[in-house]
Amino acid sequence: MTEPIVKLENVKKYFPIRGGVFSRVVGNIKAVDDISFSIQKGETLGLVGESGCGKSTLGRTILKLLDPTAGKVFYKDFDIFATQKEELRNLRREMQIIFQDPYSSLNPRLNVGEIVGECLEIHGIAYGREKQEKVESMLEVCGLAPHHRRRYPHEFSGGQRQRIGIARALTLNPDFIVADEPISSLDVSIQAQIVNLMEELQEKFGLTYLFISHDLSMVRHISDHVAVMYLGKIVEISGKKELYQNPLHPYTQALLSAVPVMDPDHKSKRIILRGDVPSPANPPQGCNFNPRCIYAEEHCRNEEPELRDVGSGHQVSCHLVEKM
Amino acid sequence: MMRRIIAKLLKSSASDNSLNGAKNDDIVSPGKIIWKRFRRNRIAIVGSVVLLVLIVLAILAPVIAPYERDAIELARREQAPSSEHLFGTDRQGRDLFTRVLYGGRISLSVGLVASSLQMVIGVILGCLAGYYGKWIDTIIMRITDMVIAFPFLALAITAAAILGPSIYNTMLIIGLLTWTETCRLVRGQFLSIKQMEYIEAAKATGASEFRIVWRHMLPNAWAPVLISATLIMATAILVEAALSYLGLGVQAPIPSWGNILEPARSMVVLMNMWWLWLPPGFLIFISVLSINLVGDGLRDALDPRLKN
Amino acid sequence: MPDLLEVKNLYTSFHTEDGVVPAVNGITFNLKHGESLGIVGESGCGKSVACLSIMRLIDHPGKIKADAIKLDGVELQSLSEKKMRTIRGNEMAFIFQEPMTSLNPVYTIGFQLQEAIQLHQGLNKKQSRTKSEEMLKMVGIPRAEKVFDEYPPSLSGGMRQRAMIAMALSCEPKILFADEPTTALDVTIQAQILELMNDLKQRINTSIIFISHDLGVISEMVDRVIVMYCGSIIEDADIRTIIKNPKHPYTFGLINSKPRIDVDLDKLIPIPGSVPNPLNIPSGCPYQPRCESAMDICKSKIPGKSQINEGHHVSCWLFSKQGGKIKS
Repeated sequence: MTEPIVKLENVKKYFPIRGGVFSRVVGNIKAVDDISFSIQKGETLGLVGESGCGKSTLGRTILKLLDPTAGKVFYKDFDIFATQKEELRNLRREMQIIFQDPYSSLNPRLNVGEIVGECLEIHGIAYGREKQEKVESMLEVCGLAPHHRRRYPHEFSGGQRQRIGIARALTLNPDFIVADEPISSLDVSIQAQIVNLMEELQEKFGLTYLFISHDLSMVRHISDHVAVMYLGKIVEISGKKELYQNPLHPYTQALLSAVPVMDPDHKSKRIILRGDVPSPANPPQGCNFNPRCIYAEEHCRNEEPELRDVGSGHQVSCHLVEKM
Repeated sequence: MMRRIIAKLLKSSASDNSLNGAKNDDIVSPGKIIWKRFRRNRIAIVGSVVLLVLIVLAILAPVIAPYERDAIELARREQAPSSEHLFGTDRQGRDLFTRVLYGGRISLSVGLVASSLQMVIGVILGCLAGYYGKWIDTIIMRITDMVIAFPFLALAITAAAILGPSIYNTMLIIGLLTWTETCRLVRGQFLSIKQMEYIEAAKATGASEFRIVWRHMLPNAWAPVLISATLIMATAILVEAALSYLGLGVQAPIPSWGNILEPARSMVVLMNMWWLWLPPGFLIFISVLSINLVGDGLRDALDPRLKN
Repeated sequence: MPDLLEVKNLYTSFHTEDGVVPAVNGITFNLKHGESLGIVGESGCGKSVACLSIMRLIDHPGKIKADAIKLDGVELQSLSEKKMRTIRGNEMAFIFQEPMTSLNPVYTIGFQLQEAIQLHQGLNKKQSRTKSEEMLKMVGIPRAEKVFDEYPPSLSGGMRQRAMIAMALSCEPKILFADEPTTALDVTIQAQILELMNDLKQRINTSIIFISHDLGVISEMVDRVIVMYCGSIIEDADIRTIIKNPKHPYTFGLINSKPRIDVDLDKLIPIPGSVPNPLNIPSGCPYQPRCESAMDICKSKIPGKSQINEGHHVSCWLFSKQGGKIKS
């Protein structure tokens, strides 16, 4: 097995809730609550979960775009949360992010060349003519034309804008990329273009992806490993095949069964979950999932399950795994 | 609702099929779009032309003016307009046409300088409040509230009385009392721009705070600032006129549209010598109106579209 | 018995300062009693606008033109605005994608529901309250009596969408337009709503027009599908045929570019290019610049409708009797 390129140890990110006259902290939204896992070099880890489960927060916390509450993230040998300003700036060359919304992720006042080439200037890598050439070749790699350099974001379609965002992320030649719902605001016919491009680039540059998405089908397609998140915690993590064919956590099972299948003959045994996701400001006692779980027992309501290995790297956090 | 539907229809596609052509002469920069939208607004164009004419006249005053600015000719006092004196003469026998031309220089530059001053103050404070937030924001916003809470004209008159009347004091007073709106606008813009993913993208590439503010936030925040600056310029011209009319602004012998109006405080002048007050009054009216028209045109031109 | 809804050559265009946007470009279709019809297409293809046009909910700067829009044989275009208002809600109801913006946040759920019922059914206050609570229960809202007095922002997205459905169904409309009713929701909540709608479909005899970009959702919900591209219908057939045996290269592309939850695919096959700008639609077949089977004729002439089988039509030169040859 290859060595992990990114390793998380008990990462937490709480957002304080302020209230009262003196805006004191009256509680915490536990967006990311004690998460540990690692990502192997060159692979894609899919991170799935419903809106509000904290998956985007986790992605941003790993890159220290948000200040962590507790825990450690190791990138290669660097402890990211402990790095100081200058060191962090250098690390940023190796870790990049691709955003969800191709409309708000590009500065409308800058042209494509300025957007893609800015990081070269920031890190003092290339200026002027040289920068231009690098930008042009990166645009070509991402399926745009070199002359698009002088155009402005609003002239492009959603898919093309996402390509610009990818080009920006790749210009510094990073190793690790957090892709935060990179396809969810694109049209169906365009999503495949972008995913294919990401796969090509991964092969070409040996990239490692953290692919955050709520689209379970797309995650199945692109990932090597998949982690399922619910209310700030990882409930199940495993190799892709194993997870999709043999989901163990009741939430994963419900999630997978809920995806509509494009096949009129498909007879689904759908598990319909009761109720809504509870507020992360006030998560349920015991297992997070117990109020919606059809199997929940007494100790699920009192005792919090731990993420444990049930064989061949398949980790689940459920008291009842053995019974199922 | 219909706007939303149309926006949705237009959103997903590339704006231009010629994007595939290698030619770049049809690049639609944000500036081009604004100009295109501004140009469509006839009234705003009329406003800009009138304003431009006023500015040119003010600049060229020494060339155009038929007489010395302060040349007193007591023998020809209070004469009605004639071919010699287009706008007539005032109580000291000075040529009013000349003085109105020179007065435009003062009035317009007071407007321009005061408005620029408030813009600088407002933008800097707004940036600080919006970018850093927390206690800096609280302090700046409370100061803003305090400035707004004072009755504007009363404060301006008191300040002018204390500081003493002069052109520079007038500029300073107006500038120091009108920055609040700009500050609030910039702060508001910054708060929403801060949420944009391109700001996070810049952070992720390791951009410095200065770079983020200067290159990514300010250029996206200036639209409403510019609009309010034009409108404040109009206000500044009016306030200058009011202060000078009361004798608290620009002092004779330097003419401004406001202090040329001063004799109109007398009922006799107001009733019998219309030429003493009508031209400067009319020019104040025209300049304020045209600046407001330009401001409205800017507002329409700088509106959303780019933000989609 | 005539079809419930008959739409013939519907054109809707928006006159903007940048030019005319032809959102719907001469579509013809009908809907039978009790049928559920899906309209699939990417954003901007005109699927929502088509439905809004049928309900005459298009304002300035939009213009609607059609040879016929008949509901139960009655030509809707000749009706007065007042008459149309009673038809909206009573005979045709709309569920929007974003329940947050379609419910008024300053009135309680119950008030809005009651108002709709009173307005259209002429019940008194007490009767309408009972009926409202019944409706809320029917759409699976727990504690219906309490939710009746709550305001929309205090409900979750899924609950709000249920309330919207209750409101839409409160007057037992003949047609329910559901415009991406689950797109803004999470998968598990989407599953709840789809289940609810399927269940309601069997209990009350309402025809549904279900708009979505997701063929997966569509294939669970409808009997027949219309595929739209650039404001035109390019293919229509029953759902089974569309999924198993699509003819139009675009439909084909839509299906193949989607990964599957149940099968591993080696590589996705994307549709190249992007949706053309509606201000500048390409000549001939609108799909031609992105089509891998495009022929010369596709660039110059718009293909007409060809019948493949009973109830399966496609607008493509590949299948036209007059032009081109069928590729295998």
